[in-house]
Amino acid sequence: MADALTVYGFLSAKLKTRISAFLPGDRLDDAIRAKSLQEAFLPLRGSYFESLENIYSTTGDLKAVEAELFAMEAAAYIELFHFLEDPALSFVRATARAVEIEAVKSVLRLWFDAHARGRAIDDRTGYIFRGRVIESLDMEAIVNAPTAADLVALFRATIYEEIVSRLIPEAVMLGSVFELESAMDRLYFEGLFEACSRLNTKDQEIARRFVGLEVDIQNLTSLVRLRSFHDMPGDKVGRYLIDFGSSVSASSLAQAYTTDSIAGAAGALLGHRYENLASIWNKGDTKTRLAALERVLRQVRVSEAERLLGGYPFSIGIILSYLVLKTEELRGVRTVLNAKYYGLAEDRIRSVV
Amino acid sequence: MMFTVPMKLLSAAVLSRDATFVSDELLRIGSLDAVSMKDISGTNADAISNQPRDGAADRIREARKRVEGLLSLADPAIPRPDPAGFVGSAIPDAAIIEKQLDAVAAHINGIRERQKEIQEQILKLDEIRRQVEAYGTTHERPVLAGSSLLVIRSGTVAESDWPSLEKALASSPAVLAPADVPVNNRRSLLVVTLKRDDARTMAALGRYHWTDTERAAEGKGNADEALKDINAKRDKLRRTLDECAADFRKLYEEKGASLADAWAGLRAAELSLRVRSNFSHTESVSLLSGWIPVSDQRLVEDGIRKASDGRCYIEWLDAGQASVDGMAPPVAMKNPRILVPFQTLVTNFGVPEYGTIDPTPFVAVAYLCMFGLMFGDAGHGLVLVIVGALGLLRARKAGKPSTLSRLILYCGGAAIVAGLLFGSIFGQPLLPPLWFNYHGVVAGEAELAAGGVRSVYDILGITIKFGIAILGLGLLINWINLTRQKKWLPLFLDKAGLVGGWIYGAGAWVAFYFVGHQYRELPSMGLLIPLLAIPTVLLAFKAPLEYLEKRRSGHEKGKFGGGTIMVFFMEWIVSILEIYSGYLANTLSFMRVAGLGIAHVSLMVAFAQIAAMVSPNGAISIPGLIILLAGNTLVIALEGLSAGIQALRLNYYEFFSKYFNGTGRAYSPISFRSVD
Repeated sequence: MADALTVYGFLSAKLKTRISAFLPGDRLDDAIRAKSLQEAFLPLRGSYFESLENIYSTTGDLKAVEAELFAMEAAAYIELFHFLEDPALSFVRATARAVEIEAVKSVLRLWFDAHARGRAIDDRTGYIFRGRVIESLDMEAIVNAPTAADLVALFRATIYEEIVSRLIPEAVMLGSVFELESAMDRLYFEGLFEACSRLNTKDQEIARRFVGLEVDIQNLTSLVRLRSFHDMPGDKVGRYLIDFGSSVSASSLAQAYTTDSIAGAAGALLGHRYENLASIWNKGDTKTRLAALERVLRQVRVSEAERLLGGYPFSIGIILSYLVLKTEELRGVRTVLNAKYYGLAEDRIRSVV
Repeated sequence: MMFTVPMKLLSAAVLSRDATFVSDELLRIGSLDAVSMKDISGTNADAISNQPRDGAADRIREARKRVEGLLSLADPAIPRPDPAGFVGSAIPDAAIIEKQLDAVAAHINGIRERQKEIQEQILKLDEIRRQVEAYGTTHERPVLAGSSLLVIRSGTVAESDWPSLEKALASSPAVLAPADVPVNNRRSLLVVTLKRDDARTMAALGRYHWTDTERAAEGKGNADEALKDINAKRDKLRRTLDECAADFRKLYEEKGASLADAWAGLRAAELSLRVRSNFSHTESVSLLSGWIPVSDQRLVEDGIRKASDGRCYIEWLDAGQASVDGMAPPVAMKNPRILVPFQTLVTNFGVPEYGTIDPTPFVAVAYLCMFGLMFGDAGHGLVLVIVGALGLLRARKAGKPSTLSRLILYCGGAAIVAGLLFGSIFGQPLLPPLWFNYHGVVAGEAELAAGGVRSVYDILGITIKFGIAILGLGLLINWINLTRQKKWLPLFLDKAGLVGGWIYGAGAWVAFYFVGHQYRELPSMGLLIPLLAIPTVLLAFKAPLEYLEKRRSGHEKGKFGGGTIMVFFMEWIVSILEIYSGYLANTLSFMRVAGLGIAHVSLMVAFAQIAAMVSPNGAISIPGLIILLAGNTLVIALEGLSAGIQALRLNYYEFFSKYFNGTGRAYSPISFRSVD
């Protein structure tokens, strides 16, 4: 097996250079202060995001810009494949599955809207991500599949075949893709855990911490959504949670859900650094609480990434840090541009970026 | 050019009512590097107040930046007018300008919304086109009807209903392929939609009394027709998009000039307010102070007198008089345009101390000599000249800085000169060398060697002598600087002072003597004592003399004792080590110049040999040429970069360490050239 320096030496240097070229905070702040959406693109000039202005100027279409941002996120993962070998490659591919699943979910939602709900989707199909992350999927055919059987056929011989064939008929019957999407999330984490177990001891330690945090975030977000939007009975919650979070087990969380102590569970989940979470949680309506929660969760992710970045450079940590920070960078740009489109006030934008 | 630009400190008092005129005049001249009057007024500081920070200035700055952004959206970019013509005008009302800018932004937003609507329709058509293309586009494969995704309907509508139907389906993702001529007052039509949109399309067709007909197996029923219609629709939408672009251009034709004027007005006001923000005030008098280049003294004084109608008091202080804490004069370097890239290299390292020698011309010569010695090839140099020239043209066209391109251009020139000296073109000794045949020396072909250089040791010797010359020049510059600054103790006893130079010069001579005598003999003691021993002993006086000077000035209040003597002794030992080992390392460091030069030649010889191997009979072959081309490209890219970096390193760490004090503050006058 190649030593850590051979595996990560080049990539570590490359990614650290990339991170140093990320959009500086003051540029994003300039975009926040811009008086119109068109002007918000100006501070992005000379950066990785320069091409977005051209897309917007020629189409006037922010969705096209968002589609490009999604493609950039996928490209960030895919590019790493070329520089790695197993078992690190398998792990990075497993993390990239998150992007692919997001793309698959979008396209399934479109299919579901058009076929199960009879809604028009013409204004959305143009923005489908048609690139390949891991699986070879014909997104065009999926969204246009005339029947559920045709749809299932399109997922044949992919990792999604079992889930889609099992849950699409149920989704059509129940009128909801929630189960399907939850199953896909679980699939992502199962793959991540499996890939993680194949890493060497040192990488495994780092990756488990990262994956555990991801699980915590996923579980907490699921809990909030289950309560706020689906009003799920307590005894059914457990099956939507992923086990092996970094702080609290899925069963404890499920118990917290039934005893209506999500705030306490959230505090325990995020550790002492975020003990004020309970006070945030108890304020405002569901929407406000969700926003506050997501903000804290993002902060945790970024803190973890920065901590990893400052540590031993020849490990899987540098890759995970890069991916987290890249995702955050893309999210920041996406959020600001959307906020400008909807004319939100600067303070409001800053509160979510 | 030899020294940094001499400065004078201006202090002036004008009536408050004249302050605006004076600040505008100072802005026009653009020479004032302002300092706060409070910093130089000493005990009277309480009697004066600084200009309160005004929110209006920030608002004007924000508005100016916003106009700049909006101007940059125009294609081609609208040139910004010279704000000088707007100095003295009333300060623009930021609120009014902001409203104008909001109107422009809203107009742009309106255009973008229109573009978005059109784009959505284009995307829908694109989707249908993808489907059509996926199921064949030729007469041989008219299989649209068999597509699982598309629905094709063939039918007729009354000619009178046709325009309305066309309009009704214009915004839906349906492709209409009508017959050119109606028959019996009915128009035949082929309608292609995605299956998922069929219900909506059918509803529209039903409203206009659509009648199904059997579709012909050929002709209009094939994918080509559908594609034709899609393309026609798409072209039409594209033309509408072009109209949006035309509207955008029209907006800038209408508003561009006023935006540019607004920018100039705001910029002039912003800078004028910035000058004024440095003024201090008493009840009825405004006080201003700042550094001015001596060459502009007359101009500034006349300007202030004219602007205040003679109601002013002006005082000039020489830089030496004004050098109090925090009041060091700013440093400006005045070099010909040709030396600008080298000045950038200097300022990247640091700003020299005020009143010292401007190192730019020396850096230019040293850098180019080093680069030429490391990259001596006329062909490769020519490539660099071409690359630099192209970069220069491109930068000029884009209105961007061209410093790097210029530097590449100059390096190319240096490489050409060196290439001619060594007779090297694209790695081949094709020309008679003016100095010596580098290839012959490196390849060990003594018969080719000339100019007194017969082996790589001779080349190493040349670079060591070159290094001694560079370090000697650095010492000389240091001595001149210290003399001008009247820093006598460092001048004599510092490691880069006269004694240090004495040891270095003598040490170099002793080293050459030793080498010249086959490493067996040193000069006699009678020579070594005055050459090395005496200056080494003299170094021992440095620490005690510094101590005495500090005690005299009150900076040293500790008790003198055995510990102090021990410190003196240790400092002496450290100085000796620093001088002997430091200078040796500095000098040997120049061997990298030979190293890179030899590597350059060796690589080219290696590529020539590889090329010869693929053509054993000696004939020129395509693979051989490819190898030579690849080799030359690799060497130009890698060696060019290495030589550039190493030349910079030798300047920064060997040459600068002898005299350069990068503690200066760059001269930064408030002018229309200010960058912000």
